[in-house]
Amino acid sequence: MTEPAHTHPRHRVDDLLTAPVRLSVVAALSRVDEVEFAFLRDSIEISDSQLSKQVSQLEQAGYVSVRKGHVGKRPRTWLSITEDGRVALQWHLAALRAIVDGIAAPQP
Amino acid sequence: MTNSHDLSPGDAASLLNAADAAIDRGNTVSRRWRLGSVLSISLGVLVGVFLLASVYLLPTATGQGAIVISLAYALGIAIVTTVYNVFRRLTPIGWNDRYRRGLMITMGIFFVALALSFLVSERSPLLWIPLAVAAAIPVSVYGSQKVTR
Repeated sequence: MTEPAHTHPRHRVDDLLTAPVRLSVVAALSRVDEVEFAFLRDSIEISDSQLSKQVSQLEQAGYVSVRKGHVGKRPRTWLSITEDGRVALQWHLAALRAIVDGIAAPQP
Repeated sequence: MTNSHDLSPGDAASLLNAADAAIDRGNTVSRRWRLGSVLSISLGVLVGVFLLASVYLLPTATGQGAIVISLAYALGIAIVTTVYNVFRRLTPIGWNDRYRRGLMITMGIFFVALALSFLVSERSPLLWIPLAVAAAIPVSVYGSQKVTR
């Protein structure tokens, strides 16, 4: 038996990015080279702990890169999107648009 | 990349709106970002002024005078980069590449002009001020360009 071809757009939706907060994080990061953790937290209006949790899931998936640094004695955490994250976001957004428009999924 | 979620068009539209809002915010803060321009223009001016100092002041300066001029330049660089690092909260997409490109051209012109100052005895401002401006321009312009994509 052969498996049916998965042409419906929902099969191209990225599980990790179906959470609005994670999607917002990745989408915001797609427009910058690097952003400070606190700035992103304020920008998408969530708590430290929420953002930490979402970022660590995105980091595990290889979508986001985390860099720890210091300015003087003050620690700073910098976030950036990886190439995998950028590609995943593009496919995810394309799949969402296809669902909204009711058309077949884009093929990689 | 596949999943078991069965997103309705309404759910998908909500997610798209969330993504668009986040992308718009990213674009807006990138467009309003001025710190890169401040850093780039300040560095450009410092390099241009240091070139003029190297041509007009350093050759005739005493040892102490040369140290003071060099320290003033180093201090200026240190202040500008420290201010940038303290106040930076983000780097707009592509800015690092543009800035590095501009800085490389600026430093290239600076070193060529500096070498020229050893080869020619001409000290007319009509030659050296335009060269100093030419050295200052690349980093200032590249580092001040706004995101376009």
